Amino acid sequence: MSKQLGFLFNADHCIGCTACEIACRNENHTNRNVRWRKVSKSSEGFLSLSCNHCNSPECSRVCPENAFMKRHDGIVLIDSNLCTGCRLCITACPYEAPQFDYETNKVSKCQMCYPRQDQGLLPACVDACSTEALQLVDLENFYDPQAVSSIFGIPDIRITQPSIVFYPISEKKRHFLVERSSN
Amino acid sequence: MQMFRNTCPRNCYGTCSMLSYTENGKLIKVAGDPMHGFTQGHLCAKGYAYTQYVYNPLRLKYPMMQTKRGSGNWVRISWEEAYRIIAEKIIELYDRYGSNLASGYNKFSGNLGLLHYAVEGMFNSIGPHTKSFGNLCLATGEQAVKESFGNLHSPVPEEMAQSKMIFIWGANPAVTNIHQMKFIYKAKKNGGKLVVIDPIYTETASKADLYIQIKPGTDALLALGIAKCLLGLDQIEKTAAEWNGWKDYQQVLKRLNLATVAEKTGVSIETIQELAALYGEIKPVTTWNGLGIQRNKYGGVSIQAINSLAALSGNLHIANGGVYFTHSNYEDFPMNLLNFPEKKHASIKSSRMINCANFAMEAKNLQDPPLKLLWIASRSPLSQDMNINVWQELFKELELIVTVDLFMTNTAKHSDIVLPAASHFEEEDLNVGYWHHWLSINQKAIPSFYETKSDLMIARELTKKLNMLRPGFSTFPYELEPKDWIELELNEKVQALYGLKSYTSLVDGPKPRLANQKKNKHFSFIQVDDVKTMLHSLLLETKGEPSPYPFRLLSPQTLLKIHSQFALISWLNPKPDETVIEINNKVAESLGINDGEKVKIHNENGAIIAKACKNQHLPHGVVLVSQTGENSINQLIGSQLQKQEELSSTHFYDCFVSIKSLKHP
Amino acid sequence: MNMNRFMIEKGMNELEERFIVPELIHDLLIASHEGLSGVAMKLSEVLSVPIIMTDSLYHVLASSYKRESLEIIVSTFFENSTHSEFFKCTLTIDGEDYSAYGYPLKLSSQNCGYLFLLQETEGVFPIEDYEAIIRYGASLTTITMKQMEDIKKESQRYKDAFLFDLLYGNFKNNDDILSYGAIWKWDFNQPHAIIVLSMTEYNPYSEDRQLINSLLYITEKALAQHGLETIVIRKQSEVVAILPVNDKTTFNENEKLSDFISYIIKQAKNSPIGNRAACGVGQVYQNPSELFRSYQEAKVAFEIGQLLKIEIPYFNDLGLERILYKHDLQDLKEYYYHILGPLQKYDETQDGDLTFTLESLAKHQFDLKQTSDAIFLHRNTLRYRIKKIEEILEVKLDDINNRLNIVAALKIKQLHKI
Ligand code: SF4
Ligand code: SF4
Ligand code: SF4
Repeated sequence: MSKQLGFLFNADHCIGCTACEIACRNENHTNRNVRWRKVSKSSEGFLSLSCNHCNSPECSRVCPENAFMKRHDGIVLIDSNLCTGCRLCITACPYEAPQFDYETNKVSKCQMCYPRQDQGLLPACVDACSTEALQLVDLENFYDPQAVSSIFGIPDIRITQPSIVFYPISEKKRHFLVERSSN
Repeated sequence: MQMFRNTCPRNCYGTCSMLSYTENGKLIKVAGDPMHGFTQGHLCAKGYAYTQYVYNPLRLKYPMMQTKRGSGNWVRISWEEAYRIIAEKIIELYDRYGSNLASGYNKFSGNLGLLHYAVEGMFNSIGPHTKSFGNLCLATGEQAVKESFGNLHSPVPEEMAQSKMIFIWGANPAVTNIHQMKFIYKAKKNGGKLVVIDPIYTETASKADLYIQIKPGTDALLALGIAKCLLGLDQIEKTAAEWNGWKDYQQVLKRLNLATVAEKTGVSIETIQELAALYGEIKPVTTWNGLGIQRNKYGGVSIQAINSLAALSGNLHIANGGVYFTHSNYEDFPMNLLNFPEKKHASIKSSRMINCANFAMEAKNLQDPPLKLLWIASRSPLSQDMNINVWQELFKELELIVTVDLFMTNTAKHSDIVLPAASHFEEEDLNVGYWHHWLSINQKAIPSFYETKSDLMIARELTKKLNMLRPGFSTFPYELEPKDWIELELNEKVQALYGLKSYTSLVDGPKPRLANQKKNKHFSFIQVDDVKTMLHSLLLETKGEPSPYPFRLLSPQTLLKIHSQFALISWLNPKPDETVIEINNKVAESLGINDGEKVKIHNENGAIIAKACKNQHLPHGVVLVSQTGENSINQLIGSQLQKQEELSSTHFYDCFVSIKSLKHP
Repeated sequence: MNMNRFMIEKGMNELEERFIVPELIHDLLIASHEGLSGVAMKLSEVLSVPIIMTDSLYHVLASSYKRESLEIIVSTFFENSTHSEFFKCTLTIDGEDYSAYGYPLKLSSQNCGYLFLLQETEGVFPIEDYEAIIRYGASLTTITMKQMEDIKKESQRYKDAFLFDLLYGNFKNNDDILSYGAIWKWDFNQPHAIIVLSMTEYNPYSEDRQLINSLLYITEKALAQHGLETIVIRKQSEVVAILPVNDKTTFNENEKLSDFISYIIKQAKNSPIGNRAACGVGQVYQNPSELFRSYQEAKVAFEIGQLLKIEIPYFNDLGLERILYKHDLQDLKEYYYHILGPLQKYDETQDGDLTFTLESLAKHQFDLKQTSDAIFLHRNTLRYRIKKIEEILEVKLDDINNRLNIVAALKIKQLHKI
């Protein structure tokens, strides 16, 4: 019965187009500064991250209002009705997933588009990714020796055990210009 | 919830069909169209931001007039009033000069829907006037492709997935054509390889199996160098001898010195040989001429040299090979609005044409009659164009400037009247791409935002007004509805081409062009004279004095904007628009410039301030500047060709600047 | 089953005159309401031989022997006769051998167990005569087994679902937990704490998966031996024990609980798990709706325990570590190098081990005697080294603030493997 929905992120494929991030907004109409999903660029490449619906959600442990829950498919939800806006979860989550909404004075975060999933649709971000860099998998039944549990730019995964796995960036051949001298 | 089919009309490779969902007349969600074979149900970030774009509080809501131009002293006026003022002016100018030549328009690619040619149709309907022609971005390349192939064609992009080797010259699909990436990845998954040749280590380059950094503007030379190696290896197309200019081409290659090629391009001889091996041994090879390579003075030569290489290597006429650029499928259509018959004038045969690449300069110099009324639609020349100073001078000469736009752009700010334009969700249209081969419809999904109107609606109402004031002034059939115009475009020939029965087939989903473009078996190799001129000029470059402006300025398209469009959408661009200049690490250090520091970029055309950002992979002689809506970098880009006679696009990348830290003056 | 009975009864009423259903069948059917042992008893009564029912691994499920836990060994198979499914065998019960006949129990052609007829006395056994009734009894047995299995699975499912909700804080209200708990006779009125047991470097794609089951078994057994009524489940890579806190567990005296956990870990050492068993202990919560915190705390303690090499880490005891663990790594590194950088550099260049000396000193609360004893260093040598350290770091080690900084920096080193 156990199931843990998670993301599979292929760093070798992601082009940083942010379609996933904006598709999330298009779906969820989040307020201005609230970014449930965030695409970022590092020296190594791109990352697209949202809440990772952790196996051990620290957000939940620290919430004094007990506003979090975890569905049996692994999706971690926050009940905004219970949230008082204390923002402890924001400090507890290593991935900047919970977002404080200055317009409602509450925290909200990615809900893995459970209403869409309950209708048999993919999460909006996954649906929007044209390069298949972002996919949805059931981690209980996923095994690929190429996949790794963390890549460059991902905060320490040890305590939270995020439900996300990665394909790292592969080595490629480059011929850069050889400049004779710098000006 | 209701669903409609729309098509993103931006000047973009995607021309994406999209599904829009509305509730109580409000757009609540957009999605990609799974029926579209090229996008396969995806949009780009800009596409997904339309839900915010449409209801952006900054959108223009009403017609407005500014009492003193540029004063910002706007007052809201009624459409009726706007039409009256404009119509009276047009008629007054007609009476003053005896024709409509003093009235003109400048329109470009803000909305590529076929019904947006209503602007052209409207002007044609009043008789000879002043019009712009040409294509800012593509003309050079189009011309070169036509010289090679006799027509403008580009294969079906979905077929790239079956290629064994993809050579991208100066294109960055990861940013400008994201839907293409999945076909490239598919090719890679099937064992194909991706090679990117670009002076900039772009997002696409970072995905390439092999990336070659090249000095800007030297693509032609590299292509010739690779061809020379192929010729040496005798790995060439057997029928090459039958094509135009084969002997000369062969001679050019034979005489070419590889060491010179290596020196000028910055690509080592070994690498050139490596590339030749790939072009020669693997089939099919797909070649993609990016728009980047044609944005400099050797652009046309480069494209022809690359085409010649593809031809020589035997990849031209085989399945899943070929050369990509852009195509002109819109030529299949009658284009009734664009080609609306010009009303006859007793003495003047036809309109005055101005090359849009040098519009301001030429328009300013017009005499007898001078240009007095300018209608600007679907573009913001004050943001995009070069020679912004000249534009400002032109504006001084004009008696009435009317701008139709969705937002208060730089250009709108300097106009007398702004008319609020409908977004594509608020109008009907028909769209053809220039990259993929699909045809799609644009339905009206929501009521107009406040008092916005489509270009077609404005044309209909303004011509009606003109005829009221002066019967018979315009021949425009203003009773025709958008649907009528769409049906007129879908004539028998088009219906056969796309397997359509009627308008409604498109409501069910976009349709691919069935007949493959006629692949011309004919080919012309690059001409000797062109190569000689280029070589000569390249050799001269190094000999000259050290320039006071040592850095070539490149300003490629950024991800979340198209020129200045989308700059105001906070989902996409949450921070205020800021011009960023990327400089090579070492160069920045030698100039004492740190990351994040403000620097001054200047040349003979002007100066702007930008934020510095180090980039270790940038060639030393190149700086990269993002395009922004405000404070546009294009003001530094003067026109090199003061009198551009040929049809050519703007050489945006032939601009040189110098950079100064603001710390130590 | 109900359906069967209904049809048979219906048949009896309507067709009484033409078909006779033997009383025997009816009796067996009624007996099956009492489950497997009902069937076994009835069969045994009818045939006057003891009947034993086992699963496919010969674990006894029911028998007409009135014995609590019967263990049997089945051996010496004889060829079964060609037209019946009976086979002859030897059953060993409590060290004594009996000859017996076995009959396989099949559910949709899958073997799911055996029915044994025990031959207590020597002599001829009219096995052929029994065939029809045994076949009927066997069918009844498999149907009953299937039903029990379904119920068990179902209740396990509910139980797992309940525990999942409990462990992730999905119940917002104590009453819900109390009433659900009552179904399985769990009393959530008492305070509880959660212990998580797992293995270091767990790899889900190896035999580790099985090893966690052993760990579960060991834990269950240990709990039983200690007389602790505890809910224990396996959750992926973990064994989770929800421990009631009462007189028996005396949780507050950590000592005893640690004894118990040490016992489990010791047991694991003797199993294929070896010394890879590890644990973490959450805090005690009175409200069952807050138990999820104890679970997450146990997992945090588990991770930090690994890093700091604490055998039985209690979340309660972790202080600075918890804060340091979460803090921005870059910042921590800077802090570490600020405090201990010079010492590390000295060790690297001079090939010294002053950092180790300092670590030992800190571990022993900066007590000279304890430290020198622990690392077999003469006290004067230690004093000399401390002086050297003070010189290099340019601080005095008797200042409490400096000590605090050093302890924090050393913990950073351990936590983040700088
Ligand atoms: S949509 Fe896909 S490719 Fe684009 S940024 Fe998101 S994950 Fe990366
Ligand atoms: S990513 Fe952060 S918010 Fe999401 S479940 Fe994990 S700890 Fe909680
Ligand atoms: S799963 Fe849904 S809510 Fe979460 S980031 Fe993706 S689109 Fe946003």
